[in-house]
Amino acid sequence: MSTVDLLLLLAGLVLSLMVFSYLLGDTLLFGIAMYTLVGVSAGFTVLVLLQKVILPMAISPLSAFPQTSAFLALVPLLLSVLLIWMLFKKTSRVSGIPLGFLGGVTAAALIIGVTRGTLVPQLLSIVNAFDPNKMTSAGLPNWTGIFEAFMMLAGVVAVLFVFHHQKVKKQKDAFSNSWLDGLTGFGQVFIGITFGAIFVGLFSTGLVALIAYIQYLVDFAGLW
Amino acid sequence: MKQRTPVIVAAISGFILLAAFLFQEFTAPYLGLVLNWAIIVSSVALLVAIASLVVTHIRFIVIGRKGFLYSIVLVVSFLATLILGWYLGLDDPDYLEGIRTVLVPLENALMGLIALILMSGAVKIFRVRGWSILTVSFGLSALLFLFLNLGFLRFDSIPGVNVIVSNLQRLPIIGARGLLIGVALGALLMGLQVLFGQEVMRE
Amino acid sequence: MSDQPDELRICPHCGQENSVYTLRCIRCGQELEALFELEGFDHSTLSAEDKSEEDLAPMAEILASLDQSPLLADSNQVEEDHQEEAAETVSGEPSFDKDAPDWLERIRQRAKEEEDAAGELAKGGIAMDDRRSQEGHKQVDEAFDEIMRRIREQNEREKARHTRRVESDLVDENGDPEWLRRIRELHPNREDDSQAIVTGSPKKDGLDDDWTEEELQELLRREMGLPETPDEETEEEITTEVSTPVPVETESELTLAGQPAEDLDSEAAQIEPEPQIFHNIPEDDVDSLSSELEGDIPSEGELKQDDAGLEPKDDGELGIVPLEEETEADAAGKAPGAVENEPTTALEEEEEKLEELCESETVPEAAVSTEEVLPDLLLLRNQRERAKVFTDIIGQEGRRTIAVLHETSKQSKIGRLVLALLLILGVLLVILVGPPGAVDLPLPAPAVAFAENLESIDTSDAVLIIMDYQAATRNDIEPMAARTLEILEEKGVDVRTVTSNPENIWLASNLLDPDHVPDEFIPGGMLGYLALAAGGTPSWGKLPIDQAFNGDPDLFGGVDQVILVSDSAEFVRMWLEQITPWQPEIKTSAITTAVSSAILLPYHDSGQLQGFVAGVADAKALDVEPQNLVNQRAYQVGMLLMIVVLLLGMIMKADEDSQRRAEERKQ
Repeated sequence: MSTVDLLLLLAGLVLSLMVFSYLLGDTLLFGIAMYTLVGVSAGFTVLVLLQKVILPMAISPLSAFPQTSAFLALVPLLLSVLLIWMLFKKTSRVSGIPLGFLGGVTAAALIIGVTRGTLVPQLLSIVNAFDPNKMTSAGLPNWTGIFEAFMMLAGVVAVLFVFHHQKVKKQKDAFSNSWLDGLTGFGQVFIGITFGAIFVGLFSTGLVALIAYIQYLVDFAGLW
Repeated sequence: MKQRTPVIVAAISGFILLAAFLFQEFTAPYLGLVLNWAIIVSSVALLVAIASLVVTHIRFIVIGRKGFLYSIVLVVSFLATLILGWYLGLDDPDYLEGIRTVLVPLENALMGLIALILMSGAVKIFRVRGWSILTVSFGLSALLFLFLNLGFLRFDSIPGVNVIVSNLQRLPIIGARGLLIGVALGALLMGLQVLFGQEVMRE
Repeated sequence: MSDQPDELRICPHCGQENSVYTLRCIRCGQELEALFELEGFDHSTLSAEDKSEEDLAPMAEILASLDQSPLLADSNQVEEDHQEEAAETVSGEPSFDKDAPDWLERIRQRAKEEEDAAGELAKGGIAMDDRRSQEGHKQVDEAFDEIMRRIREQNEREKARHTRRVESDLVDENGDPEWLRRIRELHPNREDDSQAIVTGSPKKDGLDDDWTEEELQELLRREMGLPETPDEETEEEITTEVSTPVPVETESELTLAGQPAEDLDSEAAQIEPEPQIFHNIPEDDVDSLSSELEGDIPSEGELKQDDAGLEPKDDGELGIVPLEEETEADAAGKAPGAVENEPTTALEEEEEKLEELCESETVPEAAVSTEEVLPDLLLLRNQRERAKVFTDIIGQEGRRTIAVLHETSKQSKIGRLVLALLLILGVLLVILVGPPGAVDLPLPAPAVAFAENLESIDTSDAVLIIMDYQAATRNDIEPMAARTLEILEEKGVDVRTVTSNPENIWLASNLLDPDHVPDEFIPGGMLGYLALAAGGTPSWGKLPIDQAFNGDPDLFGGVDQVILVSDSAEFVRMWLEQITPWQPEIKTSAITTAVSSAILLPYHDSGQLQGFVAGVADAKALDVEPQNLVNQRAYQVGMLLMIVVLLLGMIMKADEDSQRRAEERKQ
């Protein structure tokens, strides 16, 4: 192991130990570790963007200038200049043009994607559960399938209603209806179950990382 | 409305792209071109954001703002990574190994810290939130999935248990599907707001 | 059309334009002077004075009819002249001019002395003409009196509109006053709560709907029952008045000094000084009013905007009260006696306080109470409620509104530290003491499906590996990803590894060869994948993204399977939304973390995702060697500790509740 490697290893170890100082509060050491993480990540990201995106995609096409592709490359270049102008004048109105363009592109992709990728397939999945072929088995009712289909439908409706009901309740105080509250409670059960599963998943991922880190410390100590 | 230009640009570009998506068979080259432009612009936007961050911290250092030590750390680590990478090359194994050596334990430690914080959060959650349908179902669900992840029971040995466990593992589907549909509806509304202009949607 | 030129003759009596052949004025019946025009006499030789006097004659009559008008009080001389003329007209004698020329006098004298050549018949005609002339004068006088009477009535009506607007036509069949209806028209969804508290007034004849600012102000004042004229009845109170600390006498002195006189309405100038009331009905600025009414409860993020809205804006957004705008509008159209400057000034001070509050969150709460915001204001109830909400939000600045899990108290820090140390020590102890072990966890259906899908991949298939994960989650992902790559390599499947995450450039060596980087870096993240999935090859040349590729830019060409290696359920979801619909023939599966498992379950259930493995808990599905995983015993210990802690939290809460109930019972 070279000296540089050793220094880097020590730097990583010290920085990671600094992170755990957060247990004692938001300390200076924790701040140093976080700012180091941000600085290194930002530096590497800038490098990647420059070498893998800007140079090949925005600059290189200009070399083929008489061709159409070179002229077309001027459009994003112009938009980029307007964006960079924001660095010097943050309230510049022209900087809103590239941002508006990005917003429009993102919105269009969002609308198409959400509709085709989530809304339609998930709603169809609920409906397909009521397929007679799935609700019967060898000519007899498949009670499990029937129960699952109705539970899925009722559960999803209730979960969606939870958000709506909470919003309405915020707007209108003292709005209470036993039937609606019951439906909300039904939806909250499923939300709670899902959140519980996510909580355990997050803890599991964190625990794995913690175990790996402690193992890393043990291994590091084993070097000496 | 002070700045109509971004809204108008967003609406026009959004509608054009929407049309291009809908008639993708005929517009695929143009769709690809516009998306390429968007890629470049978004990358430049990210660069501008990072540049703004660094410039801000350099200013903090120059004026000696409180906590400028953090700014020094950020600027030094940023410049070191950038200059070394530019000099050695992005694909240089030593350079990549150096970054890996620093960042992997750092990020691991951060993720491990989350586990520790969740431990203390688990104690307080009921005291803070109280008893409700949501918290009770959350607690029971968490206990169930923690227990399943323990691996203390040999599920293979007991017939029928596998089916029960399998159904229990599917329980989050209902809530997750509701959440996904709700999020999708929200995203759809947001996209439409951008396309039609937020002011129009508010009216 | 006539070929004759349109020569017109102006009636000297009323100014009406008549045809040149007309003998009498079509309007007033006056004989036109052309009858008496003699040949060789140039009519234009009349002096300018005579012309002006002739022009003034009908004007004098008009002014005389307005004898009661204060505006014409100083026109006595003209009035006298008019009376003289009227007397002459009544007596039947022509009112010849005393300064008539000699030749005209001689003609007149001769006409009296000599026998009329026309005889008795002509005399009769002349007498008839004279009589007609008298009747014509009488008709003119009557018509003019009628016109003047109408003008006076109109004046009276104008005055009455200022003073009796409410009692007249302002209440509809529902009992809603006109101003309230107008506000509802501007914002139909609001003000419903104000409807019930408005009382009705008898419905009267309709007047015009052109409401000015001062009319609205007057109306509101009357609606509130504030006395302006003694004979007016007090209406039911619909607003909340907060008395101003400044005495009325003092405020009355603060008139709009320096106000240009020409800007003030002369009629309004005669009304008595108005009481010291400030109303909040903006002028007929629909944008301002609607935006003010439409404004929902301001969020904290909008606080500064709302704060800025206290000052006049040109974009129509208003804060609580558009004071400056209103004051300016009032200053242009109000009487000098209408004192509104002082309330505005006082409110401006309140606004300054509010602005200071917004700028510095350390201002005491008392300074922003509703009562301090409202002085000098006379607000609609709805507006007052909004102002209260606004000030409440300001008052909440810097204060915690929701409970947070991480208390910063010393006790909390110690508790957190103890729990953390407990977990760390438990894990460390297991690592140091026991063997790693192997945990047999129940395999979920998606993990089984992933393994089956992996098994189904043929040697001839092409697999695209998309890497998008962080170093923080690498221990939860890499064992399965490495095993997957190993299986694919064993099968001899064509594998292409790409990423759009810069972090994966230096993380890839954990999965691939030590000095290996992903085959391609896809610019733009999901946009880049979308451009490659949905975009086509143009006829004019290459797309920019093609230049960023080392190999074939056709990323999805010939690909049979896509395996997403991502720690983010968001990334997987976006892939399924943005990419999969454009490449429906490609099967998608995922290697992800445990935290993403719950969110991805519906996508597996709907068939969009072939399967997924989520974290080390699903490692068994791929037969990952235990030594490649983290210590399984330590994992079990961690899970067990979490169960204990969770139960402990429940028990503590139950204990607290039982203790509180016991105390309540004691009390």
